[in-house]
Amino acid sequence: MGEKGESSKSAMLKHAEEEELNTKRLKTVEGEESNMVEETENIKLKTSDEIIFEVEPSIVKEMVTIQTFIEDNNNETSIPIPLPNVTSNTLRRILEFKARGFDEEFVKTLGMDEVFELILAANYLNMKTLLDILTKIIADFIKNKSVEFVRKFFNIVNDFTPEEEAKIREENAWAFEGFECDD
Amino acid sequence: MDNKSRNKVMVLEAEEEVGGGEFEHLPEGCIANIVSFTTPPDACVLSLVSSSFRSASVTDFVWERFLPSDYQAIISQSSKPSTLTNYSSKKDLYLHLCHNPLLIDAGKKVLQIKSFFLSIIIHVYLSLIGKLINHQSFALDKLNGKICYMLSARSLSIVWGDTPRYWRWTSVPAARFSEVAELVSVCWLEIKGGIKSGTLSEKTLYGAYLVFKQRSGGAYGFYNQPVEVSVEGRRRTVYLEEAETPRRPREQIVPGIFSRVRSRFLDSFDAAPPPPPPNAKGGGEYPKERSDGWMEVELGDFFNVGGEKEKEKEVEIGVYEVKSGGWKAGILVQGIEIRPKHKN
Repeated sequence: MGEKGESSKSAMLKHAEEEELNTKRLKTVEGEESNMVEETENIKLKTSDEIIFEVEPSIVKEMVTIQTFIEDNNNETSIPIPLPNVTSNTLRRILEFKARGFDEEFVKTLGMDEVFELILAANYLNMKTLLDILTKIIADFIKNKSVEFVRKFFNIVNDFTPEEEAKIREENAWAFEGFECDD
Repeated sequence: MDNKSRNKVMVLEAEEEVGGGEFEHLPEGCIANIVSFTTPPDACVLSLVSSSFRSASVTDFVWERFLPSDYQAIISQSSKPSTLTNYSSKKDLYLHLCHNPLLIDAGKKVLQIKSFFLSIIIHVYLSLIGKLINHQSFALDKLNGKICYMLSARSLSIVWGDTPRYWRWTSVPAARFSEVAELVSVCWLEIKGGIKSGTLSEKTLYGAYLVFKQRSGGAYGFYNQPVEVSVEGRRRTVYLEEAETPRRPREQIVPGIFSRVRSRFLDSFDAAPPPPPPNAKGGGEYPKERSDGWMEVELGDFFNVGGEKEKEKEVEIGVYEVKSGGWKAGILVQGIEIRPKHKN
């Protein structure tokens, strides 16, 4: 992704494009009648790193942002739709996740960075089911944990003044009683 | 989702960083989504993490998820729905419902009788005997937003409850309901109540508690007297008087009318079973003091599965002391509370 040489880059991209199209076609055909693929026109999505994916309309329907875009543009689907905020890796993961029926266990095999990317992408694409599953998994990690633990987990800097912090703590004092220890 | 350009920058940044640090750039909507899958106390703790976590944690989006899904329908059944229009946020409404049980006119009977005159008579009669408005109170468990109910004494089935020489109905300022049942004197103590599974939260372990206190003159007949209680048919033994309380002199509390007859009975019922050691298992539960000044004793527990099929199923609760034949007097029964049981 960092390569700048134009001709080699475009050659590599073309190769990658072809590979992508093949894998996508394989995935979309999985479990479906082969004539379905020919009748329904797949929608082309172009990720931030210039890879074009062909995605089934039924999957695109879950991406409300894209679906709205298509409808606002008179269902024009011949031109690839740009997704400036989604990398090919992320989109690939999303499609993989979808193909596995949104299996939660699959998410747990991914690293935190990737989960974060998925959340951002799901939020941008407005995929409610995916977003709910991902955020629920994160929520389970931070339930019943201390403020310090959560800050470390998300690598967040405390931007409250001591006075502000004391005030919020006082307002919510009941929530800190009977507190259980971090694992 | 509004910050498209901001997200674009973040994606590029993410590629350069080794790891960590990205989460603080999550849009507030995503943080709120995460918080909404935690619990009410978690949401309060999380509001201390950072300012973005704080704004996400207090949103109506989050607290609407913590409220029961049918909370608006329940509130509309309240006898005073207007007191709830003043809340400024769903979080405020949630906390209000935790601390201020709502009186519900469940079982308010709207009689549709063709004869206007006859309906007036019946309404007056029923209100005189306190049967027109059947109060329960609704509240939320602060730790998890689950539904709690207290069935008022009036909504319970108290054997001999309508006979003034055995039970009388009185108003007590410290009670949430307009009436409590005062035990004048019975030898047959039987109180039954029930609640529909559909009114409670699904997949929750609930406990049922008799909420009562001793009359100011003291109670009689409960010292060392095992009382049988049951929830969903499962029976256990409890006591309605603490083991430590010294026995009160009988002359003070036995109603004058019965004292001569009583004294003969009392001698034969004098031999009480020895009090079990306070911590013995199977020795029965003793009353505990509540934060509202009343006493409570656990009658049992049940797991409310919930769901459409079980909606109308009634959970039956009972209190019985019908075996000893001894006279009992002097307790005020406010009702039966049903609330989630917490571990430890």
